[in-house]
Amino acid sequence: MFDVVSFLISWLTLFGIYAILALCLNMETGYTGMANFGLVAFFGIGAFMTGYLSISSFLSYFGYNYPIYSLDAVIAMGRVSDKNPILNIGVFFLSLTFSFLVSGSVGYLVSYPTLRVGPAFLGITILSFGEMTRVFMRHFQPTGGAYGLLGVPNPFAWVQQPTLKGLLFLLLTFAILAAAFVYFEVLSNSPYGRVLRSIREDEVSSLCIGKSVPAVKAKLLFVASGMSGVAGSLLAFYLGSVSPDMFGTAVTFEVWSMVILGGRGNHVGALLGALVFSLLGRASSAFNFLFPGLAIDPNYVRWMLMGAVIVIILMYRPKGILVEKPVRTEAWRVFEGEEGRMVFHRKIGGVIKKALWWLMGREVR
Amino acid sequence: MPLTGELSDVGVQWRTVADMAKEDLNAEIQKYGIKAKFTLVIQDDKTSSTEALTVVQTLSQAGIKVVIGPAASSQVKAVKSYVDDNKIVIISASSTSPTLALPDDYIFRTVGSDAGQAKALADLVNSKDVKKVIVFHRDDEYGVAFAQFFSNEFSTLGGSAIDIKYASGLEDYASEVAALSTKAQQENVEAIVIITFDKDGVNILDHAKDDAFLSSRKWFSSEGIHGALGLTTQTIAAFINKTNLLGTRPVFKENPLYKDFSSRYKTKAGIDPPVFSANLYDAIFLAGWSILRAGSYDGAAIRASLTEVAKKYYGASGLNMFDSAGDKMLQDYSIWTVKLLAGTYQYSDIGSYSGGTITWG
Amino acid sequence: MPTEVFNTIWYICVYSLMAVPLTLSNRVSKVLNFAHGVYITLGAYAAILITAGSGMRISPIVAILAAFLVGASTAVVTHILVFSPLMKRKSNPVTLMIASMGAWIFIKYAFYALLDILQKAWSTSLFYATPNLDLQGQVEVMGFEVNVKFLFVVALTFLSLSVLALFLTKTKLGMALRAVADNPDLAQISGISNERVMLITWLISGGLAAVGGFAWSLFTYVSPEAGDIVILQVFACSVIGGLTSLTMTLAGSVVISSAENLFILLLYRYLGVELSFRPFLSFLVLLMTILIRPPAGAGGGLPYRLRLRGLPRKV
Repeated sequence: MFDVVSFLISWLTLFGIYAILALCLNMETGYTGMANFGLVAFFGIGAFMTGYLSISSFLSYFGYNYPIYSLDAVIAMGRVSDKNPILNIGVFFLSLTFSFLVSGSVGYLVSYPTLRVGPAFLGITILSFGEMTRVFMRHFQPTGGAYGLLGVPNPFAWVQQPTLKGLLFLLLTFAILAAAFVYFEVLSNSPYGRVLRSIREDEVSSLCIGKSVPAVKAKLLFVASGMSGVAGSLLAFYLGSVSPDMFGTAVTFEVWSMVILGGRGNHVGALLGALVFSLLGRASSAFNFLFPGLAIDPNYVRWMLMGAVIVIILMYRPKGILVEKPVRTEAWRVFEGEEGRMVFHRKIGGVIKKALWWLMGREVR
Repeated sequence: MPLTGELSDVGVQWRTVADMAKEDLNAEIQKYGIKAKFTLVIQDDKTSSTEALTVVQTLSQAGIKVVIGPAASSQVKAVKSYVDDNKIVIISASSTSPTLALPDDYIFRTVGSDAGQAKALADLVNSKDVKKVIVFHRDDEYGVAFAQFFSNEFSTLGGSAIDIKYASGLEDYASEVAALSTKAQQENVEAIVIITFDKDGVNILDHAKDDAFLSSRKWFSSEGIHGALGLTTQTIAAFINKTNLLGTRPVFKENPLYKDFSSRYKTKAGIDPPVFSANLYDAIFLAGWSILRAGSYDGAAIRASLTEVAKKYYGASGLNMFDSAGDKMLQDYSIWTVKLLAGTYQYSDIGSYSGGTITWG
Repeated sequence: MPTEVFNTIWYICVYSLMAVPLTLSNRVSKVLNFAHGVYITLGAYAAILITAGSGMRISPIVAILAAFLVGASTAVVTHILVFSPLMKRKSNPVTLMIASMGAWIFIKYAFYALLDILQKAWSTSLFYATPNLDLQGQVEVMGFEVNVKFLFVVALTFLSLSVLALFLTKTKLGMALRAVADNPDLAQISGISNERVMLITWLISGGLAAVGGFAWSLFTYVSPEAGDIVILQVFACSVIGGLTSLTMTLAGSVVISSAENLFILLLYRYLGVELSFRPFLSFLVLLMTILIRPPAGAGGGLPYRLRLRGLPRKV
């Protein structure tokens, strides 16, 4: 009765999008100690840039001359978005790149003022900036203003079967997620990653030993904001519509919870946090099905449950579910190489010995 | 359904309407001897777009093929591509944005577009011999679109409208109301037209009542504020009476089915039904009968039968026939205000608007 | 007196009542408490629920006490159940912050559920309401007509903040609080019980924020989202105070209130800026303030000049 396949596809797609955000935030706060409270701003910028570029390019390709937020444009998009598969996919990748560049550049520029206020207030500064962006987008007519945009062409709009279409998009999202994951892993397990951690622990010391802290931070903000923009771009394609109201502070707090719950400074942890959180949100709506006639509206109980779960997880695992791993640069691998393997062999040997002794009825020490 | 977030004040009232509709629907089906029973699953969407999509997805994965809602137009837009792909029928009773008038999709709306209501409101204002107004509206899609339609209509009638928009979603509008007052005095307007939702509307009226100049103007409103319980409190109701506040709303008060629905809701909940209740009530009935007449619980079949059922369905919100875009074709409006009846302040419909003419009483 | 000035003073009173306790709790516990917004909401609703439930008008003093009690107890319970165990495990401030988020979500929706039940039971509107108090009428002050409510709130703010100031500077407990804020280990060695100080801090912080919420409910109607919508502005005030200085927080609330009530009107009247830019403006003002004068203490203030070549000159 319950459509498991569809559930998995829809859950995992949104998970994928939020996971990218979680990874970016993890890089910023878990590794570098930059408490970014305005993540949603870059998310939103990416989404809007994508909407703008994709709809405009489609309309101009097919020769329509409507403003992108008008009703005519939406109807036109409905007609043409499944005609030319190559165009869909091409525009998709183009928009992704465009969103990355714009969000990244904005992130880079934002780093100028934030560095002036010092690490403690970086979060609030970016938050203010985020809110300002949202209000601005509400008024900015070229990207739709208050109306937002509708009719963003899904890269797989030409696929007729809805499950297949969802699956393809999911795979694409995962591919991008994997790319982001690998990239961030490589970035953090490198000398650059070590610098990031040193900045997190003690900025002044890093400065003292000659690391150019502002430049490092700016570069990270560029990359992380750019990837957040990519996540926003994916969201725009997935929902098919963009609106300024989708990018309020609530999103930032959700992503923060994901990162902290899953474990700061651990990329797999960030993914895990995103997974758990998104599942919890959906699964708790099962409540409404099971208890339709409670005195307390089950909806409220759902949200109460989520809050309680956050607190409980933190109680028992304050560092998050998965803990931070040391920076594994090339040097470590060489250093640990032989020893690492020997440790492993010794462990296996120990286990086998214990098993044999137990079999023979001897005392197991 | 928005049980938390910005629309929660009226959202919890809609829940009561939905329950009532379900009871009535089941009773009616029993009467015809059909062995079926409908149950409702109500999910809170936090008045958020991404949450609305999540909710619709969960409901469809649980096997549900007809969803009543979401409430806000931006939420409807967020679910559109999903429901079109997966053949889930959406019937929204409160989304009025003109940019959703799209043909050949799975989205149906049992409430008329704001273009029609703006015309009704413009005619109403004009009928009171008012030529110069300020339109004080939300800056979201609903407010901006409505204001634009209103200004256009009003100018064709020979009036002039000054546009002031305020940020939606804030908790308090004291400074906006102060600015409104100054501007109103500056331009010496005769009336203020407000286009709001429930909470911000109450807030605005609460501040306006303390302003001498604003209390001396005439006031008009769209349907957004209708049903907000704050309007029936002593101080604000007094302000409404002083300024002769009149509003329009998409319901035809002479409709005997509406009168019946309204009185039954009042006995059940103790207060008048809020805005869009009748549309919600009819949406649930339409859904129920379309499912039964479709013969199979399948999205495409239900959609086809929905169009047919709606053509002949005259319910509490009037004739529910859909146009080619899946929106309500013919919508009549009522003119409402708040009056002192039997010792308490209550919402009261004092006129109706149909086919371009206003009938009082 | 023009309405704008009235509004500004109202906002200053309310924001300072809400922001000062936030700064205080942050300074002592080093936790950025996200549940602060919910203390405000609960305080706002305390009086409303009493008047709605009993159907009578109540005296404002009773209302203030009720609000304070509700806020203080919520804060203390949150501390005992959430912060204290985590602090004992030496969790870092970020973990505590997220825990406070969890507490915030839980309390907020538990309150929604409560309101829902009460609204059905009492058949009155509760999702957007204002309390019914014994504070009506106008009074002549210095040639202007002012509302009694206005005078009441101004007096309330002035008194509360003065009492708080006196408490922190003149009493032993107050000084213990400041000691723990500045150097917890040293304070503990000197014989101050950290746990007790924490409890007192949360009591004051939650209580005062709730009183701020109550003041807000006198100004306008409140909804269960009330605390969360104003929390951003309240944070802004605290940030201007560097999250440590109480007097600067007060200054912050003056700045933000003026931005919201005076600057936006001036901009609208003379430059034609749309009113809907109001949230934009308050954040812009916040940014300008902390950029021009980065708040000292709490790690900020080290002038980082962005230089792409070489090290910064000043450290």
